Amino acid sequence: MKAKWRYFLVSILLVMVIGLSATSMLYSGTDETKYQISVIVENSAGDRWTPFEAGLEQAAEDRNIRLNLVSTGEFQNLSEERQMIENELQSGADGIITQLYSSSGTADMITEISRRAALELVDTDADAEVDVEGKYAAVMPDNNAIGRAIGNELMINYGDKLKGKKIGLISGNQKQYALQKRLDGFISSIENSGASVVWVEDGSEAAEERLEYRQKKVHADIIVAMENDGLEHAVDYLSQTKDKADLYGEGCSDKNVYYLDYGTIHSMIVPNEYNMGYQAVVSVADRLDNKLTPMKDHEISYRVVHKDNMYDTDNQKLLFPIIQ
Amino acid sequence: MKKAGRVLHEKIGMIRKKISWCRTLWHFSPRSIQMTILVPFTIVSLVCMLFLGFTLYQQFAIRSQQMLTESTQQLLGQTVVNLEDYLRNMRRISDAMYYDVIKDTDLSKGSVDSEMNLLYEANKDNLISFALYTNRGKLISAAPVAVEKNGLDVTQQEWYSKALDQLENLHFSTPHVQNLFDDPTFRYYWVISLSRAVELTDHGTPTLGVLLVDMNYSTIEQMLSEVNDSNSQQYVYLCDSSGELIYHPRQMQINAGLYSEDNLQAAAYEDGSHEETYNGERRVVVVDTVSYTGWKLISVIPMHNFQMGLASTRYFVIMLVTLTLLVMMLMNRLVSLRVSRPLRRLNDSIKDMEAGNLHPKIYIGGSTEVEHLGRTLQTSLDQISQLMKDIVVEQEEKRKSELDALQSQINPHFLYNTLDSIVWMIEGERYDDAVFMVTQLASLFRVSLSKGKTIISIEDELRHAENYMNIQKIRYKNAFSVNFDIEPQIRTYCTVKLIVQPILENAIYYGVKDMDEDGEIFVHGFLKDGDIYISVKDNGFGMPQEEVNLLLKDNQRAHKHGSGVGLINVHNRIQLRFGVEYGLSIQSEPDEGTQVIIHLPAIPYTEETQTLLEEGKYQGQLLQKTTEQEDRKNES
Repeated sequence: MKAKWRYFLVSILLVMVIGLSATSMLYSGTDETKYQISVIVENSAGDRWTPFEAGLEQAAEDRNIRLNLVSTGEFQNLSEERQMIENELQSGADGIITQLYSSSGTADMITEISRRAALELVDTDADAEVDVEGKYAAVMPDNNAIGRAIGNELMINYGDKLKGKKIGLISGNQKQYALQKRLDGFISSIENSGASVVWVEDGSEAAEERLEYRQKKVHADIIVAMENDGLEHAVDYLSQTKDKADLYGEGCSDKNVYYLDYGTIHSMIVPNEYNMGYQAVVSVADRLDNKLTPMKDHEISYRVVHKDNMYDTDNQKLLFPIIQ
Repeated sequence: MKKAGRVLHEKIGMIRKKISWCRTLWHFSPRSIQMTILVPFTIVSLVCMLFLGFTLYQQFAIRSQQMLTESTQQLLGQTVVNLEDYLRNMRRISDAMYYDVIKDTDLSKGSVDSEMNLLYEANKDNLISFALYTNRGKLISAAPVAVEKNGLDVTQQEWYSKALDQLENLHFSTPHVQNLFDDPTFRYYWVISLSRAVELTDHGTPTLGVLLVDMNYSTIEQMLSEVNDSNSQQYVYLCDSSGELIYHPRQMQINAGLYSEDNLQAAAYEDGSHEETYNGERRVVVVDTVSYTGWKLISVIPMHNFQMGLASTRYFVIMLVTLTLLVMMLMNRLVSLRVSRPLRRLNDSIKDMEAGNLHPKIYIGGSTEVEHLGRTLQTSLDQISQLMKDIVVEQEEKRKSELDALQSQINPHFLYNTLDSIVWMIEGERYDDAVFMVTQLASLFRVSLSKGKTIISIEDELRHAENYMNIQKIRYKNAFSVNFDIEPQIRTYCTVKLIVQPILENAIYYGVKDMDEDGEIFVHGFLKDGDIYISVKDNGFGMPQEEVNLLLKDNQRAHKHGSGVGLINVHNRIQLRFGVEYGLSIQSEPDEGTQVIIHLPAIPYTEETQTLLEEGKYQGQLLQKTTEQEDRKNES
């Protein structure tokens, strides 16, 4: 009787192996996407996101992820962005990659989202509760270092002549910690130079008119933009007027690259946005693959580019990404 | 000494281990014939199938790796041909521009613009621009027409300097962003520059110049992307002879530092396939060289790619091996069952015999050997059965003779005593009493003889008892009284003869004979619960319980009085004839009297029952009937 049972069990085991092998054989060729990740960034059609999106897409292909790049315009407030994220979560998003409109007052929102999906903040960090489990993380450049790098460019280009120079600042959205840090970094780097900041604009609505107004009121010798859009506004302003102010800033769009090449922008800090996009997806995918893997913050590199070195091998790879 | 002891200890330990292993193996080794056949066959099948599956899989893996490598080489060769076609075409364009246009044109008198534009228009799908520069870097002509960037110094650009460094060659650059013309739409182009030194004619004087054909990088990229358009981990990339990347499917990741390639090493490989390990990953690298440029087209096939491709094959082989194993197991089981079934059936017959069946049906069948075994066993069993029957008959005979011997113990004593009494009566001239006594004695002997029967009716047995009591009452001058109370219906049942008389004899001699008062003996016969009971009760001296306990056990006790036939004789005779559930039971109280109860089965006295009981067969038939009744009950 015992032998019969053993025989029966072995037979059942073999039948199970046959079934398992047949199923595995049928499904071994298929390569289904496992997770869906939604990406929500302000003004998603903007040029500045081109390398970022290329990074996202490459990582999504590598990790077999379905990517949903949400079409967005200018954010008016954080709740509008929150609603978009909610819509994506309800659509079944397993992970969210987002650039927050505002960095303050976001603790509850981050806690709530990260409880439902893997959350990766890009470009800027934000207020959040202590996250022991590593349910969310941020991938961004060292923003304070970017601010200081812009300041250093001024110091290098002007040297002692910077003393007495007037600087106009396009600060960008100062609700974001990233831009606050850039501004802090820039101010700290020039504070002993003798130059003075004569005006500060956030560079949002009617930026060119506001710049013209500011320049007419107090003419700045140097205009510094802390982010890509502000730099484009400054470029537009300088192209349309006879203002000969020197322009510095951070950016990566084709337009800014062109004006760097053209000579309008003296020096530009270019973060590796491709890397930011790639890293963001990888980080979320890792978390989704293994829920016990805590997400970690990542810092991406940047380069200081000006007209003379923009065609160097490394810089041209950064400035003119080959989008395949 | 210590060392020798240690060695010995170790050896003993090893032997113990071996014994333990042997015990374990013995425990798991098959015991039954079927398993003895099944297990080795299955193990052999398993080993064979595993070996076969593994060999097949290995062969298939090696073959598919070869095929994949060969197909990759073919693919690479075809791509190289396409690339060479494309590059040859570009060289032809450059040659056409140079030999057909520039060489025939004196720049002081004419322009090359229109021809250059014509050539550009004809090949603009693959080109970004044409440009002709003097040896001082001044732009002479360009197509399409474009504005040169302010402050541009082309002499510092690599394509320009290379063209003038090696005048006789055409130079293909690595991909770079074109830095020549101003494009207000912010567009920049990745190009591969084909540059050459050309001889310009200006006012009849030959001077050097540089002709630049900027090839659209996306054409090459597209060409190679199509080759890489598969889900496998295999990919193809292009580098120049020094290993600098021209195209790589993960170009952006390499630029961002997220991926690395072994391009410098691979560029040094000869054409053909090579195995290498890079970043801990084993892979096959197939290299082919593009003519003229010296570019290397390299295909990388990670080893695990072969495994991935073989995943479904692996599962198929596992399924095939398992399926075959299952079928083999079933086949083995069927074969082993067929072989072992006759033996098992024979074994079942023996088990049946062991369980107590005296006439088991022995299986005779299967192979010749097993059939012979069955026949031999059947013959042996038949012989045993016959021997047992003989023994039973012999035992029966022995029992009968023992019974006869017991009965014959009564006659001489009683006859002696009675005849002695008759003698005394005749001497005392008590003739009537003597006549009565002789009459009673004659009746008593008639019953005693009963034509040699052992089984008589209770009627006769009681008459025998009454005759005996009548004789004894005369002998003892009516010193006691006897009262018979017999239910009439029991008289027609069977009994072993001469069982009441010895009890009455004991009641007289041990109970009432020496009493001062009148002794009384009461004989009561009745039917109860389907059995017959005959009680002989006296009011004599009785006896203690210890003595009662010995009456039916101790056959060696000395008899003070009477015929010498003890109660135990009666008890044994009843049990020998009817079974151990019947016989005597005795109750006695000192000074109160004794009661002896005879327990008999209620068997109607007929010739048939009498004969059966005489022959000792009645019990067997009774048993058979009882068994049949129980069987029927169980079946229902």
